[in-house]
Amino acid sequence: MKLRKTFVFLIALALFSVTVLTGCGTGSVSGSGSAEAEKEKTVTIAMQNGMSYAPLTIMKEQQLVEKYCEGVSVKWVTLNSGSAVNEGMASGEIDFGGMGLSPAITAVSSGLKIKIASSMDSMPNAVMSNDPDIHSFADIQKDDKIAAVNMGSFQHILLAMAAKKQLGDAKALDKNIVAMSHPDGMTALLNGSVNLQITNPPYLYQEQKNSTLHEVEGIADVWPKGNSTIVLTATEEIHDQHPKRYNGVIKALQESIDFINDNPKEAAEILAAAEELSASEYQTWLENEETIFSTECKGIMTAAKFMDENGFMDNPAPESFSDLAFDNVKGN
Amino acid sequence: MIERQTLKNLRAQLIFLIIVIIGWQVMSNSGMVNQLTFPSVTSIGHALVRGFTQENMAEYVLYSLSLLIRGLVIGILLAFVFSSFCMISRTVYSIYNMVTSICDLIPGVALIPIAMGWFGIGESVIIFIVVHGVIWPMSRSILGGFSGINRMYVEEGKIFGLKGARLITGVYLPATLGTLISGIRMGWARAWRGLIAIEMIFGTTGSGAGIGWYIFMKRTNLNYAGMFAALIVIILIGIIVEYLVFQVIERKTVVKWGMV
Amino acid sequence: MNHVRLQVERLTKNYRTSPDSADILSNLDLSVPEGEFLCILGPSGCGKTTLVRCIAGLEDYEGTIRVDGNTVTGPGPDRMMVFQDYNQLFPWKTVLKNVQYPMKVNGIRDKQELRSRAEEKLKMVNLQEYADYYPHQLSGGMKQRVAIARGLVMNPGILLMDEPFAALDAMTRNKLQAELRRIKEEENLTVIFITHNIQESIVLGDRIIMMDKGGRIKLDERNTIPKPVSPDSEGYGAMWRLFEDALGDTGAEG
Repeated sequence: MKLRKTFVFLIALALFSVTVLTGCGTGSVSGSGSAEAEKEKTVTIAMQNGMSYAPLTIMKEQQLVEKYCEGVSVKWVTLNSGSAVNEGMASGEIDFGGMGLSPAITAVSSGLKIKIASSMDSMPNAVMSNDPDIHSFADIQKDDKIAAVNMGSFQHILLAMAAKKQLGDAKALDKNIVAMSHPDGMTALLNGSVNLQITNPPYLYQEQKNSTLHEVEGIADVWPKGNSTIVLTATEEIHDQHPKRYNGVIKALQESIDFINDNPKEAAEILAAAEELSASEYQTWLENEETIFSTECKGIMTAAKFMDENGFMDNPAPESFSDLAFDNVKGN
Repeated sequence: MIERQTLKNLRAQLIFLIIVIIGWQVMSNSGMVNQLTFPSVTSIGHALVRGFTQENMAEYVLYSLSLLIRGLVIGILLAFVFSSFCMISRTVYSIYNMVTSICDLIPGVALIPIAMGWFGIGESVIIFIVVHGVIWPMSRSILGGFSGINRMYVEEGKIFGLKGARLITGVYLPATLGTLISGIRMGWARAWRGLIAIEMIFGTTGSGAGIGWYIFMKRTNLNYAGMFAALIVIILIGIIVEYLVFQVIERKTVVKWGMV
Repeated sequence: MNHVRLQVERLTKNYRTSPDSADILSNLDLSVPEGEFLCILGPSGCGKTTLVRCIAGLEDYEGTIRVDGNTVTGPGPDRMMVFQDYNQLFPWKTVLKNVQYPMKVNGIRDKQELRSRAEEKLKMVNLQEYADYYPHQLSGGMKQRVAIARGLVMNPGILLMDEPFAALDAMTRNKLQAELRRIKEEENLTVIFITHNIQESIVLGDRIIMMDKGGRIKLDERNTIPKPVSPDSEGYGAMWRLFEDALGDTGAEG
């Protein structure tokens, strides 16, 4: 009997500590009002590392959201993949998330209550090779290895688009893909442990300068210059219920993109400092004619259709542009 | 008496599972949770069926298992070879004991970048990590078993005329089989967990993709039902290995021999 | 004069665990002719077990031990040993396989021969019906009988027995003593049998040695009481008292 009481006490103690330690119950029990109020005043934006997310870095460094959303505190989180950003948005922790085009499309199609709020940039993607025998996709053999950031990443989709166009089968190169981050892939390409890599700036610009590597043409045909590659998504909740904050962030993004386009030198200094890189080199990357920062979407329905038709998604693609993006977004 | 208690427990466990499943379904449909991240039992069931009928889940599973088995076999053999060297002298034993203690502390996942540098990209990296997961706990149980062996069996073996390798296969192995099986069991559990973690990090290897990769793909698609389906498959494999492999082996050996 | 089976000369054993550790056996001489059943009595710690372990080749030693003229350098199937521990049978083998195993190790491959020789020995200890049992299914006394059968299957020059019946109940022990004595007669075995039980040594031994704490032979008596020996046998009382008194002098408590 006594033993049983002790057990009950221990269980109660354990439950109590879990509640306190995770901060779970405290808000909802004692201060539901204040938690609500706090949420009222914050906006959480998830970004990822790299040049593709330059508009968000500038927004953060120049405190542009604070400028357009007075009294709102901004929380920035940096995650390492679109999937992780989507998971954060699914759990309700994140309001805005920067990600590649394909995770955004996948998220909308799988029923996550988010949409594209703006395009951010169009970056060139290209397949680079260290193998002089490989000039076209048809030259890629069974045991050649292609580094790509991930299966299901936008680079993978682009590769599949090109494979479909050149080889007639979107999945023709799937077995050749090895998942590696862009910098790891570049190392692997340079030391020969992979033969090919599909990558984007700044790695692409660095690789293009290396005389031992050459480009295998094909990506630009299926994803021409100017087509969106990186977008900002937002939850329906923030769009529908907090239009002030939603619009504030969109305005901040517009200003950030304008700033990069108008003042590449200053932007490069800010961005280079954030990533510990040389500012002058960064500036050349920003000024490269293939690097385009714009809020206007281009090609996202094309990508969605392709992903749907070629089995990249478990659920059907959104039917129209308005299913995929909020009404403020211009483009196709 | 014992059987009646077992049956009673089994019934209680079954009822508990059914309650959990019903509770899950009710919870998922209640609107209190996000149905995307908390999919209903029925949608998990659909995902499971779809996984096997349309997405070659069985192939993913078999690929993972083939990597695992290759790694397990290599790991176990190496553990035996190294542990047998330890029988040669106390010095070798103490050195290997130290190596085992050190290496056992390294999580397999932490070795991935190094393994890629050594073996390039491909199955060999995954097998390397599986071997790493198996070899140290296996070595521990071999050495533990060998040093804890009833000396009398060894002396009898020597009296009968056994020496060297024949002494190891004739006396050491059967006499320590119980410990060895628990070592393999621990090694398998570690290797299996590690393998799935590596598949999720390391991605496809160019020649095939396993169940960890399947989860990763479902993650990319935000298909939580699919992820739960994969977890169920992983649990089922664990149950099958425990009940149809380890317990059968034990029943046919150490239990039959009265060594437990 | 019988052939000398075992010749021990100036045998000294010291484990040398510390610089001043005492000798377990010191300058022990012993000669055992073929067909003799020698019982070695002594208090715990007198070195009787060490002595048989040296003869079995399980310990290194100073001095000489020769079996049939060959110096003992290690264990071998010509000196089979039966331990006190019931668990000496390999639990992973059936009774039959246990008995066959020493033969297999020594290169006997012929299935017919393996089976007939093992069955013969099992029959000798009345366990032929238990051939397919695993050791854990047998009682302590049955296990010791299998161990004896296994010890005999190679027809060893000497059967070494280290208190094999000490853990058995009195009735089983008496039965096994009688069986062992019978087998000894049938096979003309040379046996060295360690015990701390005076009654047992008188029942079994043709010759009884008592060792003292210093690892020396204190008494070496022929046991001429006709077999089978019972407490009513003539001379039993005198013999018993002789060893009982000697045991008291060795400083033993029992």
